[in-house]
Amino acid sequence: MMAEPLRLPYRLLRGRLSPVVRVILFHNRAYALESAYVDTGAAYSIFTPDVAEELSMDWRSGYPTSITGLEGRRVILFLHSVGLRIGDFHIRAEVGFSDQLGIGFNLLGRHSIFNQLQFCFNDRDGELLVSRL
Amino acid sequence: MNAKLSKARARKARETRVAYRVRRKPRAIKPRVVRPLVRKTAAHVSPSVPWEERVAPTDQQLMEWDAWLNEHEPEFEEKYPGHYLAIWDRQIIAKTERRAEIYPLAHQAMPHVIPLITYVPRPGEMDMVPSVFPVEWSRR
Repeated sequence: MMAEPLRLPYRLLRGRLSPVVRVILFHNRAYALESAYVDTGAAYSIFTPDVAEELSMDWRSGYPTSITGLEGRRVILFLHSVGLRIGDFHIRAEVGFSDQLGIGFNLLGRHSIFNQLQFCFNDRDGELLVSRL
Repeated sequence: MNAKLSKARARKARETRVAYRVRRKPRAIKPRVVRPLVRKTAAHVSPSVPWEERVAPTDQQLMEWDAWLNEHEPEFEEKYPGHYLAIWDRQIIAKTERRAEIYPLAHQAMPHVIPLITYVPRPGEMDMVPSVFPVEWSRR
């Protein structure tokens, strides 16, 4: 029997409910409490470099990769393996750090997260249902 | 005798050099400009308080803070558009428009806690398409 999915409330931003959730990032003993926009279309999760610095990580030492946005702008990011906690779920995932994203939010994308957790968006009730795969 | 001669030559050469410089760069000696003191932004330093001694919010607290954030979002959007906020115990302990400054400011305000960092979007900022794709998918 599948466990009941975890219900995470959306955030009310600029008058609309948005799938922005609380994410805890771990690295060694350090951790950071961040908000991230859950984006099913994003290939990678992207956080700002100061989050990596808070976790005492050299963000540029990660595996470099390039991504592109809809407007075709290329963005370099550096992938690192970190511990993530979303709701009650603890996972190990590869997230990217970049100073070139150009939006205020951190992004929670598919790479190494959506293969461990299942996200179901309920825009009517403003809830994100999360369950472990 | 030779030493005296070479000393005189050296002196002459020195004088010639000085004269040459003055002739070439009459404004070589510029008046001293007093520059305004620039306060550098605080560089990020790792927290001096060890992680074991820092207080983290409980799940219950985080849920309460989420509700509080949703409740006060219109007020924050009016007061702090484009700002990053560090939240602890339903209070804003630090706010800044520069992402790189939020952790140093939060540590300065409350060094013993692990704050929740959140962002207040500007008008129209939620009408975004943030999705990013692997670069191999881009059209050449």
